[in-house]
Amino acid sequence: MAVHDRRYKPYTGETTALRSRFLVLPRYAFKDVFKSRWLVFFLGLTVLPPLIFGIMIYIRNNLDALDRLSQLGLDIGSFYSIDEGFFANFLRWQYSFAFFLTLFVGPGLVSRDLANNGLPLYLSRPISRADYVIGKLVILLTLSSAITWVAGLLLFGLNGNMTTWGWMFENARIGFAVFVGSFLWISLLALLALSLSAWVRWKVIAGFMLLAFFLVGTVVPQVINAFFRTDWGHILNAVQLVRIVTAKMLGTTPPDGPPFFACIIALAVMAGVCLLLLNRRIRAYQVVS
Amino acid sequence: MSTAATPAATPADRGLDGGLIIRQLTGILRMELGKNLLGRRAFFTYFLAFAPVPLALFWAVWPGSKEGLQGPNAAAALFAGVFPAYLAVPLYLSALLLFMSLFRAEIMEKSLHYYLLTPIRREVLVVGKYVSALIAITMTFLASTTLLYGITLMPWGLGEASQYLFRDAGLSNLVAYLGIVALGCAGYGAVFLLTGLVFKNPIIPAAVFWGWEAINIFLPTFLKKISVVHYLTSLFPIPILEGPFEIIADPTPVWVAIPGILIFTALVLALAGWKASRMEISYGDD
Amino acid sequence: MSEFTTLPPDTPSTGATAREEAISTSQAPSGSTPPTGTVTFKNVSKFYGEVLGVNRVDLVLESGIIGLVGPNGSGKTTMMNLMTGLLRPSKGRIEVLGVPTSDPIRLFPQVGYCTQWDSFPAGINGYKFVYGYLRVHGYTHAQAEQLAWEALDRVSLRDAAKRKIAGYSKGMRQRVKLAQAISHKPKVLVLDEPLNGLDPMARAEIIAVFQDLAAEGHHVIISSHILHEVDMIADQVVLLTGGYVVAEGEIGGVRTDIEEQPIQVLVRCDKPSLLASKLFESENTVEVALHDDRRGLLVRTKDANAFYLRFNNLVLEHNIRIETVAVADADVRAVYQYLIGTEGEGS
Repeated sequence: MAVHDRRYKPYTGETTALRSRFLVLPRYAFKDVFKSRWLVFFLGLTVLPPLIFGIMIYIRNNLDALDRLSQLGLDIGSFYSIDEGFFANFLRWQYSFAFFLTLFVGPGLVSRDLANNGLPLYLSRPISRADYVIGKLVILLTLSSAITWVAGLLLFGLNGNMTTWGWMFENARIGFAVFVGSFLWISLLALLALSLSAWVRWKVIAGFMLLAFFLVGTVVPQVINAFFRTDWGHILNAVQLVRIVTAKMLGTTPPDGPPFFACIIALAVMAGVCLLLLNRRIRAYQVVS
Repeated sequence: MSTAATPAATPADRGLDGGLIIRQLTGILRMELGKNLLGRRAFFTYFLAFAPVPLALFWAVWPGSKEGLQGPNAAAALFAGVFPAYLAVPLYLSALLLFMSLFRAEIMEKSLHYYLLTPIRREVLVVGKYVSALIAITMTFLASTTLLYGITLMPWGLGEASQYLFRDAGLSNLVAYLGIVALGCAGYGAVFLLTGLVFKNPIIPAAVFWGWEAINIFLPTFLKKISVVHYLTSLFPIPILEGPFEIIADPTPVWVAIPGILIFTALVLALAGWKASRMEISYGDD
Repeated sequence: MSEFTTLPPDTPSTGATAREEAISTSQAPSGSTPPTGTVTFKNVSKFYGEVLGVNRVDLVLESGIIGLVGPNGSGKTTMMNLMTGLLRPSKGRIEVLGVPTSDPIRLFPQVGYCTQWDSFPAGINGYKFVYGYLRVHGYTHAQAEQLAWEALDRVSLRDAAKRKIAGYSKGMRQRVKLAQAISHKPKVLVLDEPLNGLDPMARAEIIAVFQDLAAEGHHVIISSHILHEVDMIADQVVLLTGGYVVAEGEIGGVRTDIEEQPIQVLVRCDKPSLLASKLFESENTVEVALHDDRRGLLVRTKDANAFYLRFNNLVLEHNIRIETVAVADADVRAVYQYLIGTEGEGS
């Protein structure tokens, strides 16, 4: 009679490399995210501005189209030109979409794991706290990138392709500003969403906190400015700070607010606070109250 | 103890009468007022309502606060200038949290079914919950508005401030602001109660609605009327002609604005009642 | 073969018992008036989008303790939510004591529902929980107070009534839910997995409450997947699987009706080998197994009536001394296994 060894045999097959293990989180999260018809519809909406701006670039660079439109009495050349202002307008739209996208996806990312006591499960696997946070950030950053700097650089490339490659080199700062400004904005959004999500068990409440952060941050500085006759109230306004930084990098007129480096420092402080909050909350154990 | 054969004399056995509805509404108010005045969500309401107070106090004691302001009238104009911000953030967010939670929080807590298993019309339940939250938020924001108004007049001392209040337009302006706050609570409350009933994640529609309210001044007249802020700004005792919250609008007359917002509220509540009456319990994983 | 369980003597019968009559399929043509003292499902289906909840359920439930039994996802909770109006049927009609479930004003004075959700309004204590919803029923303060204390007494929670529910043990939470469900003295009490997570003491207490309520003439409808408990408590069972009602009635009766499954009979006697050899001669006998102690045998037969007739003759003919005769697979687990195809262990 054969006697078999019935002791526990651990899995000995190939495992995901440590460096890329954090990608397991987004892989499953994307599946969940795209189950929502509302989100798919919303992502469809976010494609519209790049499409419209792309058409504008095409028309602006197409002499035949310009001729035909001028015959109809539409002098497009006087309406707009493809310059820093054009991309600043584009980013304004996409920044708003990125905010709504984060509001949609972000609040549930950690709070669901908290509500279902999932954090100890995740962190008892060979996945570190940093991997967990990076994995969650990747979800938001990937989606937001697609609608901000990726779309912006595609437009930038389109215009370069339709004019001369020299235009791209001459206006390299536009491409740089589109990338850095967008990345700054979406990183801040992602960090805020994650840190708030990590502190609240219900995603609705986490979403509420995120919305409150931006509403308070947008309106209260204006009240402070009105009462105290200053522009420094905007130091609390993340939206305004990113706008100032982007405008400075693009070379357009920045909105009212503190100087460039003060904005950078304020944004860094906000990001630091978010990381601290995440560090406090993302633990392999949970305190049950 | 009576048995199944002799069940408790059930109030509903006597049919659907006004007295029963009043008793049921009282029952709901008893349950809900505690949550809305003393629960976790109440903390946020108090925080948001009174958060501007330290800022206002700081301004009032700041040596430069009176600079460039010609008496309490000018201070009242400054108050008027930032009052839309007060409506747009603390009041809006408090109303959102409180009214959205009326149904959504109970769905998340999986405790709504206790109400739905009582012999009560769902429409009555909607009204009872709405009224309880309205009482809680209105009381809080009336107190906060009065306090902020008083602090705005503080730098001019008791003499000038009371002269402005009782001999000038100060008191009537305050009453107008209090009325606006009450109507704002009613209007936003109804909207957020509905969003809490309809949407699993009411924050997205709330953000969109906020955007809609914010761009209201740029909308054509017929679209302006589908909002709460349009009617509220029409009731401002001091028009805001400049500054970040400048109102570029053709205001609706008071006699239209007040019934307008009340009718808007009633319609939204009716919709919420209809939605509640068709609601089934299937608690999700949210 | 492992040791047989000695079952209490039970007279097998193929006829319907009085209890069986208490629960019957409503095969009456649609449109006929159901009796008012019943919970009636008329061709009821419930779909969650494309997912089936329950399908084509026709049932009439009379008073007594009725167990809804089935594995997870079989439709027990859906049935309970339907009969309490928390869900609306996609098709068909449900009436509780003659009241359609769409009429909360007339329905809920008669119905109490203790759901499976272990959740309560935040920060509430046991007394306020029971009292508060009685006020929502429309009772005055004095009435609500009296009813609340009566209900809390009934589940032995008077002492803990003023403590926050959040600090209650699982058993206490289950009991306070039960108190809330019975506080307005409903005629129909619906209990979804009421014994889940309770320790043996708490189970015994709660089961006693159910039995008292049933004795008082209530409908007590209990869902469970812990089969032996339902077997112990319920007068009748409704077996569900995949959203369909697969059987209903008294457990033994249901078993007898499953004609295609051989019935198992345990016999303990002084001549098991002889009895076994004689029983094997019958063409209806499928299997005979002798017990290790040589004092008993387990017989599987396709025809119970033929078996008992032959068995009686053999006993008389060979002067066999009989200690026990019992149907070995008439318990709910066996029925469950035959009908649903699983062991019926807590799933």
